[in-house]
Amino acid sequence: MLEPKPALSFHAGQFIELTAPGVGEAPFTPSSSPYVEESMEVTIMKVGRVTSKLFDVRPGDTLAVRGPYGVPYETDRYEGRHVLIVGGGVGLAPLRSLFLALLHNVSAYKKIHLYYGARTPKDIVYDRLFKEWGKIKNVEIRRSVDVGDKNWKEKVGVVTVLLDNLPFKPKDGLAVACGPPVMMKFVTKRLLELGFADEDIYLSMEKNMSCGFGKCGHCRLGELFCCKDGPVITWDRIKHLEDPFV
Amino acid sequence: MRSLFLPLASIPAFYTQLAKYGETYHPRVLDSHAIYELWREEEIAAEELHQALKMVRPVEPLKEFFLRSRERVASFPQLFSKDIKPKVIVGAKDCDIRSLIEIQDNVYLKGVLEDPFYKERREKYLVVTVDCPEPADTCFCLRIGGKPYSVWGGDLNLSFGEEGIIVDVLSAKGEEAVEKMGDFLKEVDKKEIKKRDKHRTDAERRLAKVNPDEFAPDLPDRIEHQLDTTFWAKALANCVDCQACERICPTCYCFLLYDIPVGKGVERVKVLDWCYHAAYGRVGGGVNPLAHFSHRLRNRFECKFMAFPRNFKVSACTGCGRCIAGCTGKIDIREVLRAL
Repeated sequence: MLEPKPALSFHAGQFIELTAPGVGEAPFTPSSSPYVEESMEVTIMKVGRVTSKLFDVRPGDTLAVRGPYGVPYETDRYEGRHVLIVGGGVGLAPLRSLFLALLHNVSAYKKIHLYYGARTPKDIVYDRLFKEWGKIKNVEIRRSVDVGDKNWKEKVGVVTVLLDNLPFKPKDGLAVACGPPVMMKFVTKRLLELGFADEDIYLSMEKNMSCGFGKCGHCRLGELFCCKDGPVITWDRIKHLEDPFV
Repeated sequence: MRSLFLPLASIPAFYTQLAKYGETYHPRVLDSHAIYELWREEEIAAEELHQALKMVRPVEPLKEFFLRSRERVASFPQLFSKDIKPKVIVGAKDCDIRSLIEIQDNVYLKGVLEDPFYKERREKYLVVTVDCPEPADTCFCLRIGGKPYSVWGGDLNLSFGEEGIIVDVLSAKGEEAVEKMGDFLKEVDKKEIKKRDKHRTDAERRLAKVNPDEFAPDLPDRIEHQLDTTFWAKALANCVDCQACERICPTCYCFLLYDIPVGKGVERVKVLDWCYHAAYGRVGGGVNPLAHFSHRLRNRFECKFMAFPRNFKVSACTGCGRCIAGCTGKIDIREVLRAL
């Protein structure tokens, strides 16, 4: 949990650049509610130099943060519709921020469907929270793991298996997805098969976002820059690209 | 715009006066190439300086004065202030001034944020462009929206008349510089203008002869649809991955930010980055969308000839030909573009 001074407000979908002192910075999308301004939660998986250093940080240490950057989710467009959130692995972290933002005004949406897939039951993030979220009226939760264990009673299979038997018509809703590139590729394919409109598929595109404001060139995706035009980009804006998920 | 006449013998005096504005760099011939050199008011014959001005673009791109290869941009907890002093750069050709105005300015001065370092240099540096009377075989500015002479963008422009140099004043900064020059700048004779115009026409003709064919007008679409990896692998066949083409490109603008511990504090450093680096596109966790060199080559062409034109209505290439001249594997970007 970060306590930016002065307080740093953000909208769901935006990201920050968080510095590990002396090592460098990396982009993270907050996983807390944007309605909580005095603090910010970031969910971090240890995968590289910066994240390894961040794991050494102790309560009270000082970090540097800049942002927020990027374009927020267009939640106004979601009102009165079914919102399908599809997360894979640690990709649920940024979606949690959106989910909590939607819960803030939960009656504005027909229903929020939170579908989540992980490799194994042990890899599930926010496992404890799912129990609470499942009790919320107007929220439907589905989960799957690639490989279950003896205690696992929910679906087994890749996350796309959760998209079978959708409880609403795709034209009455929209989908938001975040996860590893290969998961995003197949989720998008499945959503299109089901009949979701191109502009109703919101994808968190993973690219090397370094500067955060569209200058350094690294996160270019076609003619867009993930950091300033995204990182959440609708399928209609990138469908012409060879393979945007590579 | 007004024009003045600079007698050949007064070129050293011209540089000496410019040097009062700021550190002045001028082209000098070294091993049949032009390179930028700091003006030191030493004994250099006016004729030698004149010959250097007539060369094609200097080896170093103009951007090197404006975008440092490595620069401290922030520090913590100690702060620092920028210390950017005025400079004069003489010898930029049209291809290089366009690389600033049409490419680097779009990146660093527009959009969400301005780069304060680049901005201050653009404001403080005086650029003197020079006509290119004898374009090289590697030059192709004419086929990519440029000319072998410059009529805008710099502060002053030098072109070649019958017996001296014509100085076109192109900006208020340029006007301020010539106002203090004294009386060695004269009024221009029509004969000089006529000769200059002939040089310009001859240079265009030569460029057209070297580059007889136009590039396809739909290059962005051709690159977008050229998904055949064998095409890009073939283009790379002779590449030895020396990355010279990127490092001397006047339009490449990518950079990387990283931190280094200094004493008890930290400095943030900005270094120019190159998209041929294997790690250029790698994200946390190791996924790399540009893992193969052919992907990175296509990415470079996509950036210059698809993304930039679609975003800014201009290619991120000015036809300076440095990438052709500098290529160890003798790869010619014009051939790759025509093969698309």
